[in-house]
Amino acid sequence: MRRCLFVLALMAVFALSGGGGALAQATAPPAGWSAADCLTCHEKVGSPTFQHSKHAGLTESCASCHQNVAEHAKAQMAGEKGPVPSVKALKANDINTTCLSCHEKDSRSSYLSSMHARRNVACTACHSVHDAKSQTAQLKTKVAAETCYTCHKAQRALSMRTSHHPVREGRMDCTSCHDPHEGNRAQMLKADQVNELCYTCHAEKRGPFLFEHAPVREDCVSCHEPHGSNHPRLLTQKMPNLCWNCHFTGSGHFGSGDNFSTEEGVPVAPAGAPSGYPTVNSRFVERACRTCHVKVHGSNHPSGAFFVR
Amino acid sequence: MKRITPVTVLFACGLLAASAPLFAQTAAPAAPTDWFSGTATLSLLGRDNVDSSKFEEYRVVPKGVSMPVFNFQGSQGGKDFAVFGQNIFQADQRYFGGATVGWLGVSFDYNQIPHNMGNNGLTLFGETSQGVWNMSATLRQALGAAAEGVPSNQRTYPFYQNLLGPTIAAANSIDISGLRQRGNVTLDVGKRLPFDLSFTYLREVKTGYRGASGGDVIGTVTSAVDVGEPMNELTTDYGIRGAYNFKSSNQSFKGGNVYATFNRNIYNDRADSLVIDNPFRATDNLSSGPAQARFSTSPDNAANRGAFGFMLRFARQTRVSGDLAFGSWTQDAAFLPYTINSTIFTPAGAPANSLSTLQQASLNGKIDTTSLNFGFSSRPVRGLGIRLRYRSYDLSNKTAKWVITGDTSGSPDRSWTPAEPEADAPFGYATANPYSNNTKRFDAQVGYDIGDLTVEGAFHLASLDRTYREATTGDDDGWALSAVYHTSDWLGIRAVYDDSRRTANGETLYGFQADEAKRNRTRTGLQVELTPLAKLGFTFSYFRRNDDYPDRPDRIAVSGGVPISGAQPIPGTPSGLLNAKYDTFTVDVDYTPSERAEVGGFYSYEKNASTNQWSTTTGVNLNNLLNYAGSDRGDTFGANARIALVPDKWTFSFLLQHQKVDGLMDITAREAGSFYTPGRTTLIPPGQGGAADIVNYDDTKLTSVVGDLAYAFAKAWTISFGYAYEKYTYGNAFTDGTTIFPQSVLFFMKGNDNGYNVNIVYSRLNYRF
Repeated sequence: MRRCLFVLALMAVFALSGGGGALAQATAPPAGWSAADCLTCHEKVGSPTFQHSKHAGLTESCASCHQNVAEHAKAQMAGEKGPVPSVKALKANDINTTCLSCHEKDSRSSYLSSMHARRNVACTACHSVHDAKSQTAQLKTKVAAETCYTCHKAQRALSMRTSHHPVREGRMDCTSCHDPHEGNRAQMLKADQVNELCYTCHAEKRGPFLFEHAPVREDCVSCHEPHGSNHPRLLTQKMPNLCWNCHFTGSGHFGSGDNFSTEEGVPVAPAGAPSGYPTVNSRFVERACRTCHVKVHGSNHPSGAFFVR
Repeated sequence: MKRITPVTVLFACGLLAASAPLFAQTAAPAAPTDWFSGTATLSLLGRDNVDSSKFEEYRVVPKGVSMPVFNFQGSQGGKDFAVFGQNIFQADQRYFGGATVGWLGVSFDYNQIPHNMGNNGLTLFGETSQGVWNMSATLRQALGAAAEGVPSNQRTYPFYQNLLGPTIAAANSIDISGLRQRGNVTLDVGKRLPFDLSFTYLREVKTGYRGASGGDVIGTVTSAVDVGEPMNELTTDYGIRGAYNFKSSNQSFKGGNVYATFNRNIYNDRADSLVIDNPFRATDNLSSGPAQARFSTSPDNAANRGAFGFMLRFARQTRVSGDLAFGSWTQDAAFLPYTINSTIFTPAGAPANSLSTLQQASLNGKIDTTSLNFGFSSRPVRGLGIRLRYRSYDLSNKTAKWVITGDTSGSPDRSWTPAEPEADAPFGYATANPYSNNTKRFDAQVGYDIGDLTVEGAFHLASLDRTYREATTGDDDGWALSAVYHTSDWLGIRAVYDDSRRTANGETLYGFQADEAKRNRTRTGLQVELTPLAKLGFTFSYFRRNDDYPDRPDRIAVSGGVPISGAQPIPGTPSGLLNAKYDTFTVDVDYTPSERAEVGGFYSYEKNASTNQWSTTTGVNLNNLLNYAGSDRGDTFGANARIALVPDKWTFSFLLQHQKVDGLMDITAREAGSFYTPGRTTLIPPGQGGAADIVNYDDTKLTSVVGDLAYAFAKAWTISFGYAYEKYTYGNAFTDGTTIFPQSVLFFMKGNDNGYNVNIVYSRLNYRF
């Protein structure tokens, strides 16, 4: 009975509007029409998550996003094929246009320039209007990282490495550093430059310092891999090799060669061992270079020119 | 392709218990205007004891009763509210949410993150006050007398082991742990204004220990000491943001927005220094060394940032956007004295441990930043996309530096050394230079749709400028091609190739440092998604990044940091970082045989590798040429399943994740070289100072397994029972087997952040209201 009344209402709308032909989006559903009418057939999309969201309360209801809703209903009632208002059938750019008609502001203002848009990632690739799983942002997964990992597989593996930001523990998320809608900033970062982003949590590294370590001032990623590393402190390489990338000239430590470690050493050379038998090299164990050069990010000590104070 | 939601590791934040209903909901009637719902979960958990801090590095896994989840949300009389709580009252608790009441919107997030970096570390010291680590003066004198009483060549590892054994056996225990407490609030007061206006406030407190710190204490006996670095820091941030959104009914111009923001961020470190007693001296001495060493901590600093921007919308998806930001970072914390050693005097006879001796009382440091972004994008005709972008970032160190005349940098806390300004170190030391840099970059992309295929070509031009570094200018130009193919449901392909070349120009004696040197970078990516059936999907991903550093400098023989007279670059000895690359491929499978079951799995392979090279000389001639090729191979796989054994009643969930990372340091050496005995002409065999691979090189294995059986025994009640197992192992040749000090006199705390395995059983009761 309810279904018949709905169809009659739609037919009345057609009659009054001159009917026929494709109905443009601009043809609003009749007054009193609501999502409940679509739900008579499409029960599953009316989850509590959707019902309690802002989308359920839009003026034009389902027709706010789905095109040709009335035509679709009319055709279904008539047993004809008719248009299919599914958003899934649209191309990514058309889906994005639909969503951005309301959501193109704040950080989403530059979405159309973003790498995601350029790679034809639709809003619905990450977000779900009808069946969101997350507590915020209406994502298809419970946490944002799981959404990101559906494409960014390398970062999923890196996040499991022993030295990592607390993403897999749920203390941080990919969106702590990245804005997936950002189209203007490099790597979709939430800051103008990577160091400024890092300082939002690591302000103790901002300085400026009396004695500066130049590559640190330029780019934290020169030495650190923020997604995860098997070396301590998220370093890209283990010390001292990391430091050797730049400090390869003759200095007090490495000019003579007596501070190299060319193989695994022992604490004490066995009795009768030849000169040069490898013992554990102090520049390789534990904190390595940072055993003495503790202030590698910069020192504000008047005697900290070599970062040992 | 349908993507299932894998079961996350539930101990992180109790997500397993906080689930939405499992499968598609039956439709509810139109929701009433007012509504209220929530979830509360109680947990009863038992587990093995774990000594390693790694198990709870960033989380708490509490024994006994806990509340992993509590949340509520709703709407009443037009007022919306939501509060989500995780790990209630635990050290890793988090609360976030918000409310909208008429004209006011409030959102908040409070997050506590434990940082446990090593349990039961050993220390010879006691922390008598924040950041002050002391030992008995009598003991220090005795140890010093014993050590200085023998010739230096007899102070071997066995000697120190014997001398310090009793002291180490009675050492104190320390957990290297810290806590980050971070809270922020946003007030949105623009709900009923013709423009957006919001205020933000953030407060973050960090306490405990940052990790292992400390450093060297130079004297007749030089030791390096590991202690916990005190962390007593407060960061506050105040912000305001205003935006005006406007629409136009014009066909060509559709509106846009303008915005402005301002933030002030203040960092305060309430632990001014780190002081450590010298284990071998109780009194200051000029030649024998100081009684203590004092290290600086992070100086208080502040930053302001103001920005304004705009975005304009035109027809044909044309967007013009831009933003300009100005930042200012300042730091003026009072300096510590040059030294803590009372016996050191400047050449003028002033005590170097006095603040009055300092040339300046503080730095009065300032860095200005300017950021400009400008973007244009359009789809002028259907299928064609054009994007242009210009970015500029300028960092200028405006600190007024002075020429340093001397300090104790050369021999900290032991002797005064004059500073010697040079052309590339006009302020006394190269590290005293006020480094500045500027990057400008222009990107252009053109994409075209050919049916379901989108192809894109892109190029970028970037210029790099620096002051006080060797590479004062450089470019970073490149191009890229990409293709995206996506049919309606069953096949999707993304491919990208990116090639960029960085140049370096400037003056250098020994060669540009790796972060500024010439670099050729390529990136290759491919992702294929196959969904042959609605219930079955595969994803294959491949990515490779390769960085080559050509033209690395050949070695020049030096003495005392300057080239030996007559020395020429030695051919065939490129030095420093030569290459770095990262390869990875992944296969994912998702299978949903029915509404009652979801199964998934994945495997990832990774290979990280970097090569750097060293050489040493004898006179002006090449002696050793050492190539260090460090790498690690990662194998990661996971499997997960969620099965409704009885729909809406019994549900079984399973998660397995395993990662193994195998590190390797491949060391090769020049056959005619020598390491400890000059004059050798044959390759020294391993075990005698030769070259051999290090196979145990930051190796790890991590395995997590969770099985959960849930029973919904009433409409709003669910009880679940679960078992979890986690195992972690770590191995590194350079730290394995070392005790508190391996050789020389290096006092490492050796906090336990190593391997563990743990069994966990739990029961959870979930109520949904």
